Amino acid sequence: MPATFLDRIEWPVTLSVLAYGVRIGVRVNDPGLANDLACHLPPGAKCVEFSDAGRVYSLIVEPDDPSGGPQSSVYVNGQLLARRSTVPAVLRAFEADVQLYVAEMAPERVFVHAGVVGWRGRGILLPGRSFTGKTALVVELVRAGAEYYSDEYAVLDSAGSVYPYARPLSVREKNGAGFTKHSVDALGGHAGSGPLPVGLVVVSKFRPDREWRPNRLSPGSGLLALLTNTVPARRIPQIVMATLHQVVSMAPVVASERGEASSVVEPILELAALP
Amino acid sequence: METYRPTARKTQLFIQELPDEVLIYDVERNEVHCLNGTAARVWALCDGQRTVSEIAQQLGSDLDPEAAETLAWCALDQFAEKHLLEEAMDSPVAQYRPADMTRRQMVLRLGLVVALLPVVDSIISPPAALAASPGTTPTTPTTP
Repeated sequence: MPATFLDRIEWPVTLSVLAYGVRIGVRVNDPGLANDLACHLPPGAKCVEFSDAGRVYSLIVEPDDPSGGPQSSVYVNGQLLARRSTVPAVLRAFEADVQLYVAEMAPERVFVHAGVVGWRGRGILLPGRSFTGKTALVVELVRAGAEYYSDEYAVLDSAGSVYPYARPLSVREKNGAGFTKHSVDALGGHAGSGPLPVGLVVVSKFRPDREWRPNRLSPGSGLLALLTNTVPARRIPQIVMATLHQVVSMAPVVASERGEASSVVEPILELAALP
Repeated sequence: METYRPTARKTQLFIQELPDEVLIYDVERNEVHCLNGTAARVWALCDGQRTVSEIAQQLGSDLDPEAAETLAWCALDQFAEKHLLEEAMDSPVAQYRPADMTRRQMVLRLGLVVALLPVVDSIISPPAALAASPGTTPTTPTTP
């Protein structure tokens, strides 16, 4: 049985981690990896006193194989999650699963897949899945002076306020081969710290050469646009609907295709500044 | 059809009312529906007591009765298609609609403005992994 196999391993690093109210356990067979692990946990995650966690990650790392064969693995509650040929690759698989698990299970927050910036005391939400140009738009807004909140999740409370999820920005490489992480400081911006009421929701998708023609959605259509990007929509639909209702009650939702991110920064910030 | 008294489904639904719309989350099917103002008014009147004519009468005294009934049927047609009524309905809405006309053309011919059309927009509620980036989508765990 896999659990028995894992229980026979010696674990020099054993952590109990709390992130957004979600507790997870992590154990690694290589003590040299303890510091690297911290970079792959959700932002704001804290190590806490060891206790039973509902989800335990077991990372088994081996020296990278020059032949490229899979050497390192990550298990979740005894089941294989991913096996990769390099340590960074297995850490990325671990990070992806931890972040999604926390986003789905956080008890007092609703996680919407969205970029978020702060502008004049209010949050601008940019919901959308990957390949919609979300991070590029966040980067341009931050360069224009907006506060960085997130390039991955809008973390909402029951009143509809948005909290920082300020992990390093994952900027897609120009050849499309992967992502490079950048701190917000390196991009010349700064991160926000406290919760903000949402002031504007922008549903946009990058299409080369398209003009920015924002169309205001009804609150109901805006709620649907947010819900389709909401991680715990199926697990806690009633709470999700009530939370998103708060957002669309206080913030206009506009939708448009757009060209380059830099071309829409000014109109978006103008919209966000409207009373 | 005067004996037909539609009943809005009540079970396995979460309902969120907005100022002029209603959001309905269908837990059974993981579908979410947004009813615009007209559809929401018809929905609220589907109490199992009113006939379709009686529902139509409630839609607005300034509407032509035939047009109002057509609107009601348009809404009921969509409710039935989206499993939002208690009982299955063989909608007779097609009898109002010539084969070569869209619903929009039909209502315009009846002298209504498009804004009065009942509309039910729907989405599938996303599973958690679908609402995440491809880069963050985990591999499905497997037993070694």
